[in-house]
Amino acid sequence: MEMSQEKKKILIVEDELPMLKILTDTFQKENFTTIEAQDGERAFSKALLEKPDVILLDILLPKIDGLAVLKKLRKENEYGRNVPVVFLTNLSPDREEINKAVTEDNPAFYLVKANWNMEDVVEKVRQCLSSSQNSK
Amino acid sequence: MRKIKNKFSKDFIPRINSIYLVKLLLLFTIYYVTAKLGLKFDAVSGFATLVWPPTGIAIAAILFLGYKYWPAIFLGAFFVNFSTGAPFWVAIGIGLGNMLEAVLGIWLAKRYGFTKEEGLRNTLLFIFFCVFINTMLAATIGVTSLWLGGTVSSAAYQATWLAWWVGDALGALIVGNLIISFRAELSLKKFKLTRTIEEILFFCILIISNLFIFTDFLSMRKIDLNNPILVYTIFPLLIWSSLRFGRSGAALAVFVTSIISILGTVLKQGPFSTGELSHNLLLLQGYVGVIAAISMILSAVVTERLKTESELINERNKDEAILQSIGEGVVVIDTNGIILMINQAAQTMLGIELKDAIGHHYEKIVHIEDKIGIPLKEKRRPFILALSSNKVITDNYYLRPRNNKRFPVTMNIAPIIFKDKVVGVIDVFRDITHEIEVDAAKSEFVSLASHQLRTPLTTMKWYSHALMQEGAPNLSTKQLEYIKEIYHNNQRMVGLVNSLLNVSRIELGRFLIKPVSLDIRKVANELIHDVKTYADSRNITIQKQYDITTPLVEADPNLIKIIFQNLLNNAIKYSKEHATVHFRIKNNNKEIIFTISDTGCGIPKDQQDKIFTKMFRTENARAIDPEGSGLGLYIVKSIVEQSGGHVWFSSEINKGSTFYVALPTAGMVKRGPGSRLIYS
Repeated sequence: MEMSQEKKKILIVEDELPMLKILTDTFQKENFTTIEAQDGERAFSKALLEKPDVILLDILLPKIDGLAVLKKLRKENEYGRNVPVVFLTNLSPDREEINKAVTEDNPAFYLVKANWNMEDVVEKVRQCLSSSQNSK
Repeated sequence: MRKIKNKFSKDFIPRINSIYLVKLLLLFTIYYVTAKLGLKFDAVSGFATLVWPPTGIAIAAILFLGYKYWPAIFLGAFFVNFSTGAPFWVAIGIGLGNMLEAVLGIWLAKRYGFTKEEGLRNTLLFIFFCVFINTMLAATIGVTSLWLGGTVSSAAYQATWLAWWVGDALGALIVGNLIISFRAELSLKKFKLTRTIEEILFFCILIISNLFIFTDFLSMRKIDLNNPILVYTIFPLLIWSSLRFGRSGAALAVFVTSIISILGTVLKQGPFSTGELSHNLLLLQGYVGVIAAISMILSAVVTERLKTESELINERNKDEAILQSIGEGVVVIDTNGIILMINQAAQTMLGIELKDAIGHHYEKIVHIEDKIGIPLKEKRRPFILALSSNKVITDNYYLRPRNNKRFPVTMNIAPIIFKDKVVGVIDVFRDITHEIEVDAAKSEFVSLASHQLRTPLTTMKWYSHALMQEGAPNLSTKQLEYIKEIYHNNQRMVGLVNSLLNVSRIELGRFLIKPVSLDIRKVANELIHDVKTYADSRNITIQKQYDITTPLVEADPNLIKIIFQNLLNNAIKYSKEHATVHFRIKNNNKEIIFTISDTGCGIPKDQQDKIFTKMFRTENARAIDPEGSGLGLYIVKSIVEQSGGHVWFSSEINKGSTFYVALPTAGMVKRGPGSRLIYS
């Protein structure tokens, strides 16, 4: 109980500004500390630097895509291997590289943006935080 | 009646012009001269007629030139007889008889299907009508004329008739047949040196044998001249000619034999010179008639067989050529996997020569790999699958030719069934490199476009939803209503994009089915929860009734959701307010049957067969909800059937509809990317 009261840090990776804005607003309102990244490279470096508790990751991104970011993170170090990642994208999960990433790199959720409301996204993020807490 | 008359006049009444007259005169001359020579020969023998060549000439002429040349024969016969001293009316009678002999013979034979072609049937028709029957008629008219004119006594009638008939019959059989067969076969195209040498050799032997048997020209022999056995030695030679030289060769051989044998007998030499000349000649005529008929029939049988054989070979070569020329690779394999046939396209694609493939094992020639380049395991190889399952296997594979880059193919392997037994398989494959590229480009486009469409939709969705919730206290009821409208219509667009994406995935064959062990009842509860808001808005109660024996099932949760979201939404949408929708799950051990029933508007009878068609909407559904896309049931049916289940419904207008979905308890059929289904 005490742990969940603690302010969690979330890295939001999103190149569409209007989306980034509402995501940041919502998570801040829900008592999260937010970090933002608008491309894959920055997402990777910020993740390693700031070590957020959870990463909300888009797939289609400038420079390197979200799938590659996750792959790099998982290979990078202990933190990268374990950090819970939620894919939040508008790509349908029917492409082979996505399937491969989902089975190999183990994201907590794969959410198609258009099918979810803001509170659902927050709910999913909380779910994966609590389960990663439990596994620790 | 008039038609027959017209045809008769067209065939028999000549239209006189210079060409006709020239031909007529020519035929008349030939007939006349031949007949005169015949009579001269007759004078030598002192016998009425022996072989009467004019009959053969007349029959051949009518056959090739047509009925309208009858005057030449009539006049020819008339003048020959008249000039040899027959009384006028007798000569007229004989002329008529000889003319009718040719015309009626050909007419009758044709009536029963005779044509100029070679063949057994034609030969028999010719012998019966143009040799046997018509000559009886001519003999009767001719001899009766002689008898009426007083030239032949009643006592001699029978003998004269017999001689006349046999002479004419032999004329038709030997000379007529000779002309007809030569006329049909004389062509330089068929010239072959070896055949010609054989023919010359044959005729030398034939002439020598004939001289040896029937005359004294080569009388070094010490055998009894009259030994009747000798005449049989001609048979092997005639069989040789029938087998090797066709109808014309056989006819010529008979002709040569009859000339030499007649010559010998007339000179009182050979086996037929035993008694009275007339008696000898009659015997000889019988002999010649027999060998002529036998040769003719035998050569006809042989020719017919050769023709059938060459037609068969032709047909087979044509089939082979068709297979060879097919643009797709075709390989035929026996049940042991040995290649029996491989066409040009397959040779090119596999980079192999014919001689290196035929007789070799299929697996050694055709290297089949899966998508990532691993050779297929034995039991997954299409050739083995087709043989063991006895079904047509269709799938996509990669082929790796020797020393070359691998390429994707779509392959169709079918068992070859011959007399109820599998005797091998036929493998047809096509290079689909281009299709795969196009496919990839299309999928790329669809997913990119969907992403592009979804981005603004998502933004609107999130912001309008935030407004609806956070702004609610500060907004007027009207303003809140407007925002709800924005949110609702945005949701509609999201749903439409999702449906379009599903349809395009179905049509690209990219629908993945990833079954996991699933508690169906739990998924059903989630689904009902998802649609609750919508149901509440229409005051509709959802009654659930689950079979407690429902087991865990291997199913793809995403697909299950798509199926029942569509069906539940429809049930709610088309029900009247305050109605109840039933959602039942039953387990009958073989299948799990889902039932969703409503008491809504129903489906009109005349539109029930189109209900699963893409973009189809019934009129009453359109009246209730003009916004629907007509894609839902199409998607449901596609998904259910591709997962190995089936879907059906019962419905009555204004009473409601019940939709049934049956999924096999064994689970959904797994489908990986790129693979097509196997069908039987």
